[in-house]
Amino acid sequence: MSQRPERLYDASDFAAGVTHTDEADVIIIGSGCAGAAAARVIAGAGLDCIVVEEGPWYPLEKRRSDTWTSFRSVWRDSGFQVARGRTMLPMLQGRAVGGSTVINGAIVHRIPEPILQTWQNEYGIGDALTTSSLTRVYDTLDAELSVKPGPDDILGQNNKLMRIAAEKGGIRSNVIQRNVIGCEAFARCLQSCPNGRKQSMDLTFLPYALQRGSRIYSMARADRIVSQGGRASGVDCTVLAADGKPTGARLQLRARKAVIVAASAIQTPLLLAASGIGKRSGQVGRRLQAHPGSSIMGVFKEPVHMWFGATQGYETTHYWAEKMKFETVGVPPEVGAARLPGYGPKLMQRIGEFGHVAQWGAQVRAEAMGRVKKGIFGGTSITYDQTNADIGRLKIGLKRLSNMMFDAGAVSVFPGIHGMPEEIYSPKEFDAIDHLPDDPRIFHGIASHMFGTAVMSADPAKSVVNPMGECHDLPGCYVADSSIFPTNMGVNPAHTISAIAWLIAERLV
Amino acid sequence: MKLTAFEMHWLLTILATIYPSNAHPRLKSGAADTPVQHFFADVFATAPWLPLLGIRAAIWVITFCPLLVIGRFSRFHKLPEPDRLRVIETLGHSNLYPVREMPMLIKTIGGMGFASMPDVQKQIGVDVAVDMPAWAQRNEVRS
Repeated sequence: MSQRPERLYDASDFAAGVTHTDEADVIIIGSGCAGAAAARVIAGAGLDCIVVEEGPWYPLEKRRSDTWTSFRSVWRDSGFQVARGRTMLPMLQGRAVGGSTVINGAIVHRIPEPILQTWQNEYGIGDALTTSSLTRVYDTLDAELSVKPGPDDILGQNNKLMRIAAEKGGIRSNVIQRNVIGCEAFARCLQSCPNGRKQSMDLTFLPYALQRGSRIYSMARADRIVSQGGRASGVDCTVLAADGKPTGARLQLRARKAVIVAASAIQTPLLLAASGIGKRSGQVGRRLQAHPGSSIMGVFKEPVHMWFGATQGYETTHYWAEKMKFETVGVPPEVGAARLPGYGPKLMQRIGEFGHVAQWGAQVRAEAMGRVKKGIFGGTSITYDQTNADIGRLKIGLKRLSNMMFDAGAVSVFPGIHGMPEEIYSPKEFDAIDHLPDDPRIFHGIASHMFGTAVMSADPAKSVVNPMGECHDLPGCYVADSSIFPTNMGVNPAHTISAIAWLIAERLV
Repeated sequence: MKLTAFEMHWLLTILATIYPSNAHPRLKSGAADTPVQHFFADVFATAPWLPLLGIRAAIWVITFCPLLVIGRFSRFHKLPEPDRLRVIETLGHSNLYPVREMPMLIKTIGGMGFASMPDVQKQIGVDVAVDMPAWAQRNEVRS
C-alpha cells in the first residue's frame, strides 16, 4: 500500500478558503481500531461510508526504523502528550490513518469474563454485549487480522527470558497473540513497523473499505457534530496542514443514516463537548481510566539483543486478579539509552553493553479516574493521578518482575526507581521498595490504553451513550471507541475496541 | 519555536556531558560526534510548545545552576568536565521531582537523537540494518 490508494484524500491538498462537501450513509470520525472496524462492517454491507481522520496517511516508504521519525510523523503531540497529576505521565496515542494501531505492539486480547460481567450487571449493558456475540466477532477479527502467537524463531531473547522465568516460578504465561503476518523480528512495532508486517488498520480494514467505494479524508479534524430535526446529520471539519495548523479549507460531511464517533477516549469527549452532546449526564470527559505502568531492565551474561524479536512477544496474566499484568517491552538503543541509569561515562558504559539488557514492564488496572477537557490555550487538558493503591500495586508488580529477572539469570537489575540503588544484584535488594512512599514521582511511568470518558449504560442520568452505543442526547450519533467502556480491563484493549465497534456498526446495517 | 544559537550551544554541552565520547571500549561516539543539533532543530520545529518550553527551561536552569548546586560561580558550559558531570548527577538525584526531571528530560530526548544514528548503533552491537533517521537524512542532502 505504498501508492496512495484511490479515494484516500489528503484534505490538506484542498485550496484554502474553499469548503469541500461530501455525503454518505455513515460518517465515521477516527480511523483506528474502532473506526476502521466500523468501516469494515458498513462498507462490507454495501453502504456508503466516509472516514475522517485528523492525522496523515503514513505510507511504508516514508517509515524509518528510528523512534523520533515515527514520533514526529504519527504519534499524537509528537509523542509528548502527557496527563498532569503529581507527575507528567506520558499518555501514548497514534495520530494517523490507522490510529494507534500503526504504533501499538499488535497485542491481542479478549475481554476478561469478570469485566464483561461487571459491565452487564452494574451498567445495564445486558443483552447488548454478550459473550456469544463478542466471541463471534473476535473469531472473525482473528481470522481477518491473522491473529496468532508468534513462532519461536522470531520470539527473540528478551521474550524467551520471560518464558524461562515464568516456567521456573510456576507463573502462568504465554506467547502473545499478535495481529502480524510474516513478522521479520525487527522489534520496531512501536516505530510503525517499517516492514509493514503488522496488520494495522491502514493495511487491513481501511483498504477493504476503500475497495468497496468508501472515502477517507486524512488531515481533517472533526470540530462539531451537526444535527437536523433532532438527529445527527453530519460533521464539520477543519483541514490541517502537515504542521497541524489549519489550512483555511473546510470539510463538511453529511450523513444520511448515522455518525459514528471513534476518535479515542481522549478526542471523543472533546468533540462531544464541542457539539453540546452528553451535557445532561455530566459525564463527558470524566472517569478517564487507563493502564499506567513502568518497567525494569536486567543485565544478562548472554546477549539479549532486544533489536531482534517481537517487540512485545511474551506476557503473563497470572496476577490479573491482583490488577496487574506483565509483558516484555523490547526497545531500541535510542529509547533504552534514557532508561539506563546514570549520566556521563557510567551511562555510556551501560549503553555500550545494551546488547545484554532485557526490559519487561508491569501495567496496572488502575482505580484512578481522571478528566479530559479543552485546555485554556485550545489544546487538550488531561488530568490523571494514580491513587496510592495503584502505586502500591505497581511496586508489588515491579518487585515480582525483578524476581523473575533474577530467576531468568540476570546478573543485575536496574530498578529505575528514585530512592533505590541504580543497580541491584539480588532479589532481596528490591525489598528497599517497601520503604518508599506510594508516590508516582518515584517511577518513570507511562500510561497507555485509555477508557471511559463517554461512558455507556442504560441510565441516561449517569452515562453518555446507551448500551447500543447511541448517544442518549442525540439519536443517530453513535460512539464506538473505548470512551464508552465503563471500566478499564487489565489487558490490552485494541481487539475489544474493534469488536464492540463492529457490533455497534452491525446494528446500523 | 526555535532555540537560539547560544541555547543550542548550551544544550550541546549538556548533551556531551550526559553522553560523552570515548567512554566505552567499543562505543567511542558520544553525542558530540553526532549531528544531534539537527535532531533538536527538528524537535523544535515539530513538537508542541509546552514540552519545548520544558526543554528550554531545563537548558537554562542547568546552565545557570552551578553556583546553587556545586557552589561554583560559573555557567555550566564554562565548567571543567568533572564539575559538569557533578552538576548533572546532583540534579539527577535530587529529591525534588521537577529538579531531577530536568536532566532526565534532556537525557531522554537527546538519547533519541544520539543513539538512533546507525553508526552509534553499530558500535553498540546492533547487527540488523537500521535506517538513517529522516532528520539526519534531510541534513545530509542539505550539506
